[in-house]
Amino acid sequence: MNDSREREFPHGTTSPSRRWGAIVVLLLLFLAFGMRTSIAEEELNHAGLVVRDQAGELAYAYVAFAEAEISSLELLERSRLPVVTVGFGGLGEAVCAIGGDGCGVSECRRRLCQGPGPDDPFWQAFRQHTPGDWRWQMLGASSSLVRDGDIDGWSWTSGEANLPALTLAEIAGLAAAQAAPAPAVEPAAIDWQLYAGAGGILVAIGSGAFLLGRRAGQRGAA
Amino acid sequence: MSRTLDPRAWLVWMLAASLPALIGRNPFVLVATLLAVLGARAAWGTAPRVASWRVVVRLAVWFAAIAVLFNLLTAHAGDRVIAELPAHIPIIGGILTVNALVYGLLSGLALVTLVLIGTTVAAVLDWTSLLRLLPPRLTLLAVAGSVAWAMVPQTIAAYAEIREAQLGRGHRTRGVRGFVPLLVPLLAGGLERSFLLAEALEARGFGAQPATPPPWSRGQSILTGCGLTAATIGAYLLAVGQPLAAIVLVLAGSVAFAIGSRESRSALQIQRTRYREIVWARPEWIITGAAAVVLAVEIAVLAVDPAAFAYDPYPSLAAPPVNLPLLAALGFLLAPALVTP
Repeated sequence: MNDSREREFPHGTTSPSRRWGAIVVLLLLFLAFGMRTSIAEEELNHAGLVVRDQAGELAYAYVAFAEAEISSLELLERSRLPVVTVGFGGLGEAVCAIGGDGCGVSECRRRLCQGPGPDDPFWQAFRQHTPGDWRWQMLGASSSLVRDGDIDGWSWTSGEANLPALTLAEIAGLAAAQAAPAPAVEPAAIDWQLYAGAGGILVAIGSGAFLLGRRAGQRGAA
Repeated sequence: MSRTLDPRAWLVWMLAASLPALIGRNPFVLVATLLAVLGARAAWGTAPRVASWRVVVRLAVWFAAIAVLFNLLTAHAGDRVIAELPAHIPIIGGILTVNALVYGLLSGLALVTLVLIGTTVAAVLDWTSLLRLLPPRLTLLAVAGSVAWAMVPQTIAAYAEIREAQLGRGHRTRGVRGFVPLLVPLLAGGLERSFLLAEALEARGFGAQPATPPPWSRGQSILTGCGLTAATIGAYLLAVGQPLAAIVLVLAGSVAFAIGSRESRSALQIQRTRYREIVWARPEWIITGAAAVVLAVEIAVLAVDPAAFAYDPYPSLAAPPVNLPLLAALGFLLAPALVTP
């Protein structure tokens, strides 16, 4: 009895039924993940981003997002461009710098990095309604919503957008081309002699301050 | 007996010392200025009024610490992330970065440096002499300003007296309510002092209309106002990094102010009684000369290499720029320590 059930197989091998079971499970898992991935791809929304810096150089980003809508600021932050923002409480956040153009947080809190003149540039947000029709975003980056297929633009300008007419597909292509690995750039070497000199001057001023202060204190005590 | 220095020498020194902290956030420049100012302050620390300003300096240190924390929590930018707060928390939600911490520390350093400069000059400045140096038409403004400036040390001294008196009565400050017995007499005393001062000024004819028409014309008054306005705008332009326009405006403003405030012959005939003449001697020359050298180097560096004053840790943290001649020149701000009484 129990002959068929207790058939012994050589050590290290499995029965054909178990093997077939494992294959079926693997197939099911593969199908499940494959379907899930394809569904996720279909569910993702996409938006484009064009950034024109101080020198007129253009940067592109093609951003995928799972949400139905995100803010323009989130789109900018997800583009992986270096961004500096500062909060203004209920008014939302202001963009101070993108990719090194702009200013620090403290100055940004005062004038949003705009110079003293009314025609001085600062970072301004635009939305492309039809190719080439860039319109200024009145609500600001925190409140403007981005949906699937939208194209946002940021320009360091005093008025006009100066952004090119592009479709989302073109932006996707340009962003992919820009995302190609750039040749490694060696970080700028630090001039240690210069910093040693600065340290020496600071030590000299500190020593002078200490000695003169102590001398005056001794004179006062005397 | 030690004499007080001519206030003009201190004002020039204050201008030269304040400029770096007003213009930028370069850590080397800020530290050099702070060390020099601390040296001058330590040397003149025996002046009787220096102690009364210590509370203000402590307050500035507290505010600087709050500024550091505020910048760390609200500036979500930079490449060196320390931690991340949930994004749904308003204002402070987001990444916390070393960049924001560094910028907060530098801003705090600039704030403390400026307060140390202001309190040191306020403690050693001879306000009476300063009032005498101003043209007669600015006397009202100067008196009001000096009264306002003197209010801070007077209030601090009054607070210390009230606290000692309340401690003598067994009062112990615990919690916010513990400050009520200190603040109420402070407010009452302040009001009383204000009334007494107002009566004293009124009795001396402060703000009264002159019996004879003023010896200066309306045009001169307008010129004086324009000069002051131009000089103020020039200072602002200097602070935002437009040295050429700033220098032109400051020079034009100074000329307009000098012409506008020139007294007519009838005004010059009014004799003022002075029991102690202002002396301009060797210490004044040393301080003014050193401050003038610092100012000249600062303006030259601002015109040639404005980045020497600046440092921005956003979006990536990098080594700050160094300008050795500027740092060396800032050492001249120690000049007041050489001429202590």
